Amino acid sequence: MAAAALVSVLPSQRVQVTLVESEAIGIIGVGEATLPHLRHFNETLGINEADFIKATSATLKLGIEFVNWARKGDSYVHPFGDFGTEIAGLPFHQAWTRMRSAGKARDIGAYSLPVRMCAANRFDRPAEDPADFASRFGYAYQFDATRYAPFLRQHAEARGATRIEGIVDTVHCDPETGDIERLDLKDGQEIEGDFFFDCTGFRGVLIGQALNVGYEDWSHWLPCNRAIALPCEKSGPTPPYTRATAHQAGWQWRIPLQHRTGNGHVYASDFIDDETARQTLLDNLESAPLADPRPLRFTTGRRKQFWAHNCVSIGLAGGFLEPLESTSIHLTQIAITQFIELFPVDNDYTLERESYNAHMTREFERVRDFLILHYHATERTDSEFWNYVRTMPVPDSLTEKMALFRQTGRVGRYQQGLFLEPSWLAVYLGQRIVPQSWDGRLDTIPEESLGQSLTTIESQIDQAMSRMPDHDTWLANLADVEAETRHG
Amino acid sequence: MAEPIRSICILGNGLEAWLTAHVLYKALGGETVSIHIQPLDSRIHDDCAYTILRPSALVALDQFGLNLQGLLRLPATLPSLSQVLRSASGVDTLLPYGGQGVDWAGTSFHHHWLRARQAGLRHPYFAFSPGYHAMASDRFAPPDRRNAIGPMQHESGLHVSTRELTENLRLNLQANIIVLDPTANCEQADLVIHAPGAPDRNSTLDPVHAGPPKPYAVRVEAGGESRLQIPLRSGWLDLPTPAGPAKRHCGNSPWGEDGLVVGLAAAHLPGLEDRSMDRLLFELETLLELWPRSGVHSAEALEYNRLWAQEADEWTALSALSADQEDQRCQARKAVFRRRGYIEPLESRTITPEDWVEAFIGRGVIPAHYDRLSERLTDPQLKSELQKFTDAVGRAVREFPSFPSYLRAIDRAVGPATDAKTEPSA
Repeated sequence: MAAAALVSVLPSQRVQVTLVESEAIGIIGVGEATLPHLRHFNETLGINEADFIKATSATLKLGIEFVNWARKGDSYVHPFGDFGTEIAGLPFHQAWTRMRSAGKARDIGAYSLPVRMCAANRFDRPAEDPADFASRFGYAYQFDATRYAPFLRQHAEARGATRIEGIVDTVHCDPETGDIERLDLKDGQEIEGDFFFDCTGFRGVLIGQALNVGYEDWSHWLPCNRAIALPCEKSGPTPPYTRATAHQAGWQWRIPLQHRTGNGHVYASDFIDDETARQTLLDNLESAPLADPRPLRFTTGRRKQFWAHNCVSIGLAGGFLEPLESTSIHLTQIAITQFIELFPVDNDYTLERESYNAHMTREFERVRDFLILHYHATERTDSEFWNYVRTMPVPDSLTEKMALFRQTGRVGRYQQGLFLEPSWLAVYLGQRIVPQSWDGRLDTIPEESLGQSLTTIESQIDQAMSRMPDHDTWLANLADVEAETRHG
Repeated sequence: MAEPIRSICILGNGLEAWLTAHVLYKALGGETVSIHIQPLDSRIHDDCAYTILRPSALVALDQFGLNLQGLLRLPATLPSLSQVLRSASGVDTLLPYGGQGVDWAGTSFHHHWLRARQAGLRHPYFAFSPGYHAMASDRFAPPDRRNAIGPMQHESGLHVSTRELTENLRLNLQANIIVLDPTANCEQADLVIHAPGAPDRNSTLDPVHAGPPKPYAVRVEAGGESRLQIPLRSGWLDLPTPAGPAKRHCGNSPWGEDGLVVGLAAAHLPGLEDRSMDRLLFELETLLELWPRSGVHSAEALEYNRLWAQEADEWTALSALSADQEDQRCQARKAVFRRRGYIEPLESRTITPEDWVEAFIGRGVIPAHYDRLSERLTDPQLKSELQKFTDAVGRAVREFPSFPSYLRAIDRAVGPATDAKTEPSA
């Protein structure tokens, strides 16, 4: 991603990009589910959506379904889009809270177009006219990460990046400045550069091993530290959403692709042994496995500096937050785009580095709080794991946000960060944090009027959905249209 | 469960107090909540003789029923395209309200301008705004889709007489608001809002001179002091601007046990006189967003204070720049901007990165380097785009009437502005 972005965006006469990569080192490939922002990234790189979908066997994604999180048997969707529309100039959920307390509102998902699309397995692109109700959602992709990397490599090479096959053996640093000067590869090649990107995953070959940048461990808040990944056969219609099912000491992902389904069990080794975790995954597959389970180990947290000396850590080398909200690829994307925004103009880039590190720290911490919410706001008491996360101390920033919502129905207001009001709302309500109150200005509006507004929203959703094909049909149509375009 | 808020007592008798009453009355209605005003003494305080309503304040006021047409009916009201910064050496920098160029190639306009400037372009940054040329040629037209240049639209605000606006609000609200005796006890109110303004400020309405009105104010900076010359329909005012460092009178907790403090009593921000209404409206909108249905919970006050402090950090930094008393945040931002023209994403609702770009460039802080994304346009492409844009700005502004003509036209349209009791609401 970094190489493709750099050669696509920066003028080639200014920057030469060399990608050191080895076929011998596999791709983790956990981050197969994404967020809508990836579309913008692809657009910036000039990637055609149909080409991307075809090359990576991608499906479309309207949100994430969470199963068994607040209580066993519960299910809710965190959608990529708003719930309802403003009523009397106030956020929809305020009116919904009042009507719900009177027993006159359905589950909040009934008022979300993408939630309803998930349930009905429908998909279409959002309408372009902002006045159209069908414009009120976003979408992302679920794709095969092992295919996205070569796709981007091809894209990068076509635009001037030089790819070198090899494995880093030694990192040479300037003894005075500490900056990286050169990489020696195992086959004897020497790679010099002004600036280096560490995309070596958890190992952090440059940022960690060579530059000794420490790691801030967040395991006490997010105790899951292992995963087992396993693809299985595709079965039935393709859902336009990712599913995250809570288990005894972690959770299981299900990511439907065009040709297979990705699965994995993320768990906390302090609360469950590896074999039980493996068996839990196998017992909960929807179809026959296509490979042996692949174990992964990680420590949730972040580098104390994302950018140190003349090296920026990208992706897992910079930090890891479990893929519960499909943030891995997004954080990689942010790391790249923010670096491009602050691309050094000369060799004295202290100011840029400070600004970059502050920005990335904020991004990571806000995602962290959002992930902790999923665990902490649970009513589950059926395992040691759930008892721990339910009762553990959490960051003050999260405690205050939860108290505000519980007492007043307000979502803490932020202009920056990945997850904004609709996302927090979905998870608060899905995790059974019910506001004790609603906006007092609604008290002057008759219930009948609010009820009519809710009914109107449901009708608008029905109308928008009636024009949409099912997800598989949309994908097939895309392929047909693309073939027709290419052939004539 | 606590009882709903049924009574509010606003302490103060100036524009801030009456605007607070107006906004709360419009938002909450008079049936469920009773609103009282308790003057600090028997006379109306003017927070200052003039009030600047920036474009953003006009948008916010419109939501509360104070529309542009109504405000133009107030006798002293004058439309404005912003202000001129006049240095000690007499050099004028025109700083029009929003709308400087358009973004191309994935980066902000100011980076393209910087690149062109390094190649010899002589146009000032603000010259890529219709507002700039209108200010320079004494023309005026309100923003309208018909005079937009592609996606760019110039903006305008108003200068109003504080006394007229306050009196107008008072007259319109007097049937619905209870004015208490200054000695009355308001401790029984469910929520107390302190909005005393700044009664020590110069409140004379006597014009300094009766020269022709211009569509801009002039900030004169000389000898470490700053004066603001404000044109109203009645003539020009010439007043010293408040001095001293920025100060938060309640720390970061304007909502405390004794109630909520808003406006000038919450923070002293020299150099941001033109943003005092934006600040107050931000505070009132935030209060309404967090409006407690059943008594005041600590969570609401905590969230209000968090949002206020976050906003105040930006106000303080911008104030520090304007008053030449830069704080750490301002210095850090200036250092990065001076180096490469970058402003980080902000949490603020009332101040945007573009505001900082304009503030820095307006004060002569010119970045050494531009964003390399600008080079996605070739040199000829950039030159051509800038020329096309300049031509479009010139064509648009030539269609603007002269400022005196525009004033005569609005007099004909809304009627002569003679009566302070004119209803400004829609």
